[in-house]
Amino acid sequence: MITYRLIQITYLFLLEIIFASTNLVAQTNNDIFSTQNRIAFGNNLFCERDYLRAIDEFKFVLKSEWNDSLQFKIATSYLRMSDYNQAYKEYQKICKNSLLYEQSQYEKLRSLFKSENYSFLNNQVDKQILNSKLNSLQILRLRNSALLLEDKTLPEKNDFVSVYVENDKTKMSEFYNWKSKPPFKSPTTAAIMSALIPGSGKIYADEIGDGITAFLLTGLFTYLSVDKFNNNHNASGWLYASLAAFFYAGNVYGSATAVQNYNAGIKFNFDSKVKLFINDRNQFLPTPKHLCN
Amino acid sequence: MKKAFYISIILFSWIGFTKAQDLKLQKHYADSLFQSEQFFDAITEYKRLMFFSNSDENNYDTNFRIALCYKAGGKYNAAIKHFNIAKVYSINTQDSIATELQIIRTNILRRTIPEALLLLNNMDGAYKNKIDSSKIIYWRGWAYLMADDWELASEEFQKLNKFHPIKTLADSVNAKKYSVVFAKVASFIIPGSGQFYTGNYLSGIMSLGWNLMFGYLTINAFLTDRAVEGILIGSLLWTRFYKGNFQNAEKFAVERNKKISNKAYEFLSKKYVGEKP
Repeated sequence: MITYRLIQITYLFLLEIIFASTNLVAQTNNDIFSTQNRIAFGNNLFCERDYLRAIDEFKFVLKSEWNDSLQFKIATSYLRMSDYNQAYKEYQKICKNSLLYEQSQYEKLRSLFKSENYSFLNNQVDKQILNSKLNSLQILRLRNSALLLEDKTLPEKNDFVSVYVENDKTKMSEFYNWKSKPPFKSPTTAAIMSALIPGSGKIYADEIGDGITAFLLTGLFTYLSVDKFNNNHNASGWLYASLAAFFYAGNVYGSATAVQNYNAGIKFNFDSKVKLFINDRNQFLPTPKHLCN
Repeated sequence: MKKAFYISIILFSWIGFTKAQDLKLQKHYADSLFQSEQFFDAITEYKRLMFFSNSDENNYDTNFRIALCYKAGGKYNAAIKHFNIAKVYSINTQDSIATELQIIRTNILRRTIPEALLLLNNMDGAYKNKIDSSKIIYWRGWAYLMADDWELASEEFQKLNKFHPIKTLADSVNAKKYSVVFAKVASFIIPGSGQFYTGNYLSGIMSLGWNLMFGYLTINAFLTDRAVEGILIGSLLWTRFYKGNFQNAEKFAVERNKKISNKAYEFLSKKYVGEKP
């Protein structure tokens, strides 16, 4: 009887302990607004790419306790929503003693590149190179690539290309050659050409149809003007002469602007190709891992 | 011992009950946000409810409401995504029909009319005798309205009621609209007449004037053996003004029609009391 009583008491005691602990678990896990659950829900939203809501959840948690991985995810959410300036500011909040500090430095550079703030990126790379923790080769790759998109003088070709991996060297060398000697055409040459032979400046600017039309019209009006003057039709002569002069002047000016457009076009194509190449390689920087595990 | 056993059962079921109560409260909270039209927050809370709910019980209702929130916020792609998820969790035909109709209505709002019409045709076949056919006709009519096809819209609404307010509206829009082809052809035959037809009198007079002048100069040049001059005036000036004349007539007709349609859409959006997409 005593043994039975002892078993009963022990069972009730154990039950009490279980109840107390489950009650505690219930308080943490069942309260869907608990810190732990907010983080879990925020992570789910983040992985579902609902970044705006994920930011809200993470920020709410950060009000009560600091968590560098949440801060990193907030910054990454902004980056993925293309709010690069805000992403940069958020990455900046990660302290030096955090395990994510190194990656956040990379992400800051990525944000700067994406926001096309190349001059600031350049300054930051110089600062980061002094920081031995970061892989200087990777950030140099990004810096050199950004130089291709800036109006700055490039370093020596060997120095420029040497930082890239073997597979990328040929392409970067091509980009380097283009940037150091861009196949731009001269607007002055175009204007002079059109002044000498109407329409030739347009043909030089790759606008062949316009060039031929300008040549024919200017020639025709000039011929008509001369013909009218020769036949003593002075009024018509002046009319055609002024038309010829108008077409001639317009063609000279138009040739110069056509070359400017041509140059802007090939520069735009080059920039697009470079950006595509760099983005294809994730800006040459390591990508954050395990964000959705 | 028996007593202890009962106590333990009560305690464990209490824990389960607490969680269920929490989720019930969460649903009420999300519903209240939805009701007060705080759609962004409502979506968050519905998503939270789904995340913490262990069963699929609320999935239809929750996804349906999330979709409605997205729809109200103009995020039509996300709305259609969640309506489709809701459809997967629908438990009866009525739910499936309601979801399908919402997908169609969102497509109408998104102006993906061919998709909306295709879905309506599919519904017609899939839910024969289970859906009120007047609903299909009604939304098909709306699809045509949003596609700016007032004639077909009128035909659809006539099937519902000869005096349906949208039918009357569609008919009046049809009557007011200008024929783009007629405006163009008229200007082709008599320069400026297309502009007159669309009520752009000044532009019509100018067009007629320019064409008469350059036509006269061209013909006169040929008659007085000034062929080069004739070709020049004819090709550079007359053809330019002649082409511009019927292009303008077409543009004016299209613009006027757009104004008429927009006025009708404004009426539908502000004053029409019936169901809207």
